[in-house]
Amino acid sequence: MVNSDAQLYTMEGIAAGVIMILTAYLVLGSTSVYTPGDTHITDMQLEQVGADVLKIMDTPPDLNNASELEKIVATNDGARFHQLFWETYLMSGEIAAQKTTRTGSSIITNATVYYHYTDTVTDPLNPQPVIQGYQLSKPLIPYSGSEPGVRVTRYVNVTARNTTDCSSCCPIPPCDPALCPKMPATVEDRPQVMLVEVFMWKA
Amino acid sequence: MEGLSPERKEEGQWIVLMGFLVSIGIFFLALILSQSTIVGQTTAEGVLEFPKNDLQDVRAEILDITKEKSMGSLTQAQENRVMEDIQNLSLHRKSALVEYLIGDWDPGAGNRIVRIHYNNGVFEYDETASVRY
Amino acid sequence: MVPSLLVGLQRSTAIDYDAVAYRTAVILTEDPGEPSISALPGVYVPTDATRFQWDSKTPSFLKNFMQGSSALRFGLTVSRDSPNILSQRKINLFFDPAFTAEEIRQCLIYGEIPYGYNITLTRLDTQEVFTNGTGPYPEGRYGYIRRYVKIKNYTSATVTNETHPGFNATTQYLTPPFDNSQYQTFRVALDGLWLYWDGTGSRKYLVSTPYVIDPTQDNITVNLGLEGFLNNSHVNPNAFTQELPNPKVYFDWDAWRANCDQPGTPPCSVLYPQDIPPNYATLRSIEFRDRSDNPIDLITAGAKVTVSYHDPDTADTMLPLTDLDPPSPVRVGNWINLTIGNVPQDYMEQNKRMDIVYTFGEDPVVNPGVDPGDPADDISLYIPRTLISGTLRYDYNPANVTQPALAPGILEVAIW
Repeated sequence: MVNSDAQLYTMEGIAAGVIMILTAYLVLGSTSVYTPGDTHITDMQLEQVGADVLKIMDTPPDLNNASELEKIVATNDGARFHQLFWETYLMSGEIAAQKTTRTGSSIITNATVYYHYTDTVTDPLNPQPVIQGYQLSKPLIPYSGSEPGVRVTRYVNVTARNTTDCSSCCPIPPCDPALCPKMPATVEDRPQVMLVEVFMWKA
Repeated sequence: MEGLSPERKEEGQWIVLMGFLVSIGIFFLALILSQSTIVGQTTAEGVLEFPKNDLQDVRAEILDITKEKSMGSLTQAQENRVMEDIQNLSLHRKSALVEYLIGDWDPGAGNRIVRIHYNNGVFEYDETASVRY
Repeated sequence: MVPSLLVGLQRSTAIDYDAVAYRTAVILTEDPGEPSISALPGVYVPTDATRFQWDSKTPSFLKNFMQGSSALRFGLTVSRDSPNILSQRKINLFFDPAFTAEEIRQCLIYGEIPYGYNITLTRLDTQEVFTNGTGPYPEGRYGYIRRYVKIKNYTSATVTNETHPGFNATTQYLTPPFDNSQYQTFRVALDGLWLYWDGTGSRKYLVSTPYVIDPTQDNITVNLGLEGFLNNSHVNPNAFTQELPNPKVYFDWDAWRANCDQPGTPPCSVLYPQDIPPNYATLRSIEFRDRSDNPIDLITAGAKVTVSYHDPDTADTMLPLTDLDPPSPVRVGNWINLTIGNVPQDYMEQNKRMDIVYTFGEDPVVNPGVDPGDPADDISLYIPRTLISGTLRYDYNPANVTQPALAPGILEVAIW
């Protein structure tokens, strides 16, 4: 005859075992959880770095000169923007403290300038404020829409609409408009504040 | 089963019970550990959420405009348009409400008062700055 | 798994360290530190035992200060309103090896845990590297953040005959008697009225902290190159027919010219200053004077003044000038380099003026007379030459002063 008295204890033992295994799994698992927090850390670092670079680009070197970013926006010099933002600052060595250089991980940037003007053409009786943007520098690889990225911005003073000065991109006049993109026609010719917006993502 | 006395059965129960207790203890430790990672996560999130760079940028820009006004390189009409620029750009591109008021120069105190208000729906910031230019 | 951007590390649980690194970097790059005077440049603020600029003190003072109940915090920005713009003086002090890891933790990193840390500042223009840390980056996990900053440079003025021919004292001859009352002086003027204010007329405004030349915060350096002035110097044609002080003889220059290079007399080249420019100038003193031309004792007041000069005898050697008013005049071959730091606010604020005054005198050249053995026959000959005179404005004109241009840099903080 089979005695079933001990079955209860066996089941208890199994239950305890399952709980212990579960607990051990949780303990081990919790030390290597790839939570969204990880991406937040890199996002936070990237955002801080991007904001810092824009800030120091918008800091005039001395009292007698405008800031680099102001000059870039005023002359619409996207190549110079990319050279400074990306090459000089953002990618200047992975960890400078260890003198290690940049590795395969790379950041793609797309810079857009937004400006504000009053639209008096569409409805002359009821002028509306309009926010319009144009591309300052193109990304090397187009954005697929799925990579996580961060956006940093900086307000820039512009004294007037850029119409004539394109000496930096074509030294011999007459300038080829394709070589020397000017600000869009709707940019008002007055001292104004524009917004440089840089979108960065990891390729 | 005759060999098993009731006393021995009791001892087995204790072993199981201790197993329970220890596992519950470890479980709580695990909970605390996993909580600590959540704390770190929100630190990074908190940094991302707090618009520190935006605030510094807006503030620097407004103080810059104040200086230009003091130097006379902006007319009143131009200054008003610049304010519209900042307000519209920040509302449309940054979803943040920015208002500011540049006070008149007070020759007695040798300063002017600049009031700045910023609100992006999550954080609100107000400052009354005394500017010496 | 997650491609860690700019970090080269796989994060798993190092999240806490990142937060500490972030906080540390924010204090360093967005805070002027504590104690600090939150006044605008050039505005006088009385200082006392607890109210001062932390970077105006020495490491040993600060080490004592932090032992008490007083709060000390290492923030590096030039002011509260200028995040990411760092002060050179604060950088030099913070990276001073005198501070122990315990002191850095107490005044910068905070927290109960004795974190390991490595803080490195790299200047992108000169590649100069400042490091403060408990060791190199560890093999394992660590928290990391990188911040971009601008570093405010010290200013300096370089004056030579080539850059400033206007200071050539072509007509300002010394006249007899050639004693201590006869000087040629050159001044460098630091005036609060133009250092702290910019613009003209009613549109004057305060120069903002990142760009101000502020002798109370930043080092001021004047490099005076005399070689060109010496080569261009002129002899007073009237000097040699007049009375010389010691011994009191009338010296007939024409008669001397007729007699030199004769047996028993010195060669003409030695005493023929019209043809041979002197290879040295004679510096009598360097002093500091206020707007009313009263002398200021800067060194006693706590300022740091260092002077080195070019010794004419050992071609390229720069000697330190330990006494600014040496008992006997000093011969200077070419350069006099002077650096002033930590000027007290008592002498430098919006309405104060401070002039650096270089006084050049004449130096007797003892020449043996006709009879070399007879001291009474020796001639102490002064060579009265033109040298340098005038006043250099130390201001925002790039022709006068190298401007405090902001240099880019990277600050990296690692915590483990």
